[in-house]
Amino acid sequence: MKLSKKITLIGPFGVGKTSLFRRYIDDEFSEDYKSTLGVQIQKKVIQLDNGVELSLILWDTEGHMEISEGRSAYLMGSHCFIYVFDLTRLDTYKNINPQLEFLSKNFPNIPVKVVGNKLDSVFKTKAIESLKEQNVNFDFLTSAKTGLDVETLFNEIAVQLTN
Amino acid sequence: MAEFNEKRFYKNVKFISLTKDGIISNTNTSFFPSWKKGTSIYDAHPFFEILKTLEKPSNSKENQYTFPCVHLNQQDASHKICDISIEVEENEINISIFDYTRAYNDLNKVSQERNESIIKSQELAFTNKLLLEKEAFKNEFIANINHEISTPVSSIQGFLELLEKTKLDYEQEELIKIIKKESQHLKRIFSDMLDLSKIELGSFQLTEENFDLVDLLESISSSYTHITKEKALKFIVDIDPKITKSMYGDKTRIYQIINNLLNNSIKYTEDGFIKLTVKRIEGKSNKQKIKIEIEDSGIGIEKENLSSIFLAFTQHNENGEGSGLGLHIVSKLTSLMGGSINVESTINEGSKFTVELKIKHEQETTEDSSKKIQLNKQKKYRVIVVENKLTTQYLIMKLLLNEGVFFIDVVSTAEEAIKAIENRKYDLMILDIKLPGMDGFNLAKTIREKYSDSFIKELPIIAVSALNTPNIKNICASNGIDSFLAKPFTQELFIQKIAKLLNRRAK
Repeated sequence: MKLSKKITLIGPFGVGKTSLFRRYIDDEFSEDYKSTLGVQIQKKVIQLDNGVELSLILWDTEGHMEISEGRSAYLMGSHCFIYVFDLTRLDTYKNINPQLEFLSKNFPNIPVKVVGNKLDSVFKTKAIESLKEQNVNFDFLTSAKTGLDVETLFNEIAVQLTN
Repeated sequence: MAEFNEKRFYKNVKFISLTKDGIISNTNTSFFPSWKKGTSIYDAHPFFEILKTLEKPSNSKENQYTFPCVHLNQQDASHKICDISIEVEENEINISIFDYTRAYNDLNKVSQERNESIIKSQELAFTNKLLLEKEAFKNEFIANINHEISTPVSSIQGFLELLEKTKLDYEQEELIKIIKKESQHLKRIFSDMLDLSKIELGSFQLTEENFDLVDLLESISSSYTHITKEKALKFIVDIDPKITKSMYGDKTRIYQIINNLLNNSIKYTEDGFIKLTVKRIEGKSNKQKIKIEIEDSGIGIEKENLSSIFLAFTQHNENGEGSGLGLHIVSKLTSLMGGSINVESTINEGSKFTVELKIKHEQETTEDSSKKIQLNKQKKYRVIVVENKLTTQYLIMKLLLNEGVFFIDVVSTAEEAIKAIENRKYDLMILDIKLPGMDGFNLAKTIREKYSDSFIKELPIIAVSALNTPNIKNICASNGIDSFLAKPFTQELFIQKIAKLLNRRAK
């Protein structure tokens, strides 16, 4: 069976959405920051254990501190959101809960994965401590630089979307 | 005409009509030439997968969707940034693609610069927060470790003082001298670390009082005559007779500055001399400026190391003993007092440290704090000691018994102390802060608030603790504790504090 699912990466600018996207699609990483304007879209076809051939259509959107500031058309038709924040910048996650509420209100049945990126630049225990302080519930802590948990994140989404 | 329009007006626009299965039924040739009639739009770019999710129109007004600023890159490496408009009809989908690549690229430069600057400032703010947390953790750690070490060091020093007063043979006396010297060294290292953590934390406060500067200098001179003799060094002291005796300032810290500099010079001088010169270089009606020079004939400091000599944990010779904090603290203390410090040095000839300080003249006060207070030896005092550590209980008892004027009761907990003071009248309570169950602060508060009997309510309380945090005296006072004595302490200071409280009550 062939399926196609749209996954939209959202979150503040500079958090590493494009880096996660490139790490997953091309297994590449660049230290240089290049801001994303608008949206770039790529497809990755994966074969799942349950026999499904899944086309993941990844939408890497430009960053905004608040989702409502961004272009709503990019969110349309999403099957899953990945909300990415930067573990080295408190400003990118201290107000995360209103953003997640915005998604659950406007896209009530669409799953959201909350991902803290740049784990390679912080001490994990300190990062978790800070996230607890800010009342942030996360699903994954990743590093696009080292590739840590990037594949796992997308695989988990793929399985969830086909079950 | 159609060809003219294609070339002139529509070169930046691509129109595509699709069948309901996504097959291109009509298009112009402005760009993306591979998107031809008869091919599937789903093979053109993954963006068009969105078409599968767009709903068919329920009414004619809501059948248009716009996607601005979409990157459309092709396998041939051509790349355009376009606005895409999609109209969903009953049996057809019409797509208009507007190529705004140049305009969007210009816009991206602005957003790139703006984002970079915001990201940098947010990263710096976060790094700064982490550094502050790290610093606070370090200072708290030092304060805690100092507390843990002060208690046993205090006991060692106290028992050594007692042991010194017993009958000893020559060898035992010499061994005690060594133990005493080493424990003092240990105490100094921890005291340096605690001072430094207070300075870094910004909680360090100078304690100003009237003092005799000449007495202070003579006392230093006398101690170091003895210390330098042990290394066979010549100790030269030159104190300007013009120096005013009665001054107002933090004598302990002035002593510490001179002390640390002399210790440093002695450490790095194997033969020759150590010279302490104190000159008055400026005198005004309310203050005098003094210059303190400590010169030695030691190993000297390399020119390139002179700039780092006042940094923490720096030793200009790897054989040097100590914490490497002495000169750093001197520099910090000098700066806190509004003074300056300089060093000149020549390798294998020696070094000269020069400190300049402005010290105020004596202030008028109602009480002379430097005056020693005597215990009334004709009287007997009943003291309750609330302390759970056996060694400290024993030490305090020995120190008190040596005075011959105290009856002592010892209890281990606050609860036992409450029972004791309800059943017997005491002249003084010596209280540890860290107790099992109710702590010392709460015990003092209970005594001050719960009882109407003035003998209990006004019982003088002295807290004796290694818990020497920056605001410990304020916390003690707010809980009704009259006096605080930090561990480790000398017998003399301990008895002075007690005598002061007992005399105050007698008045």
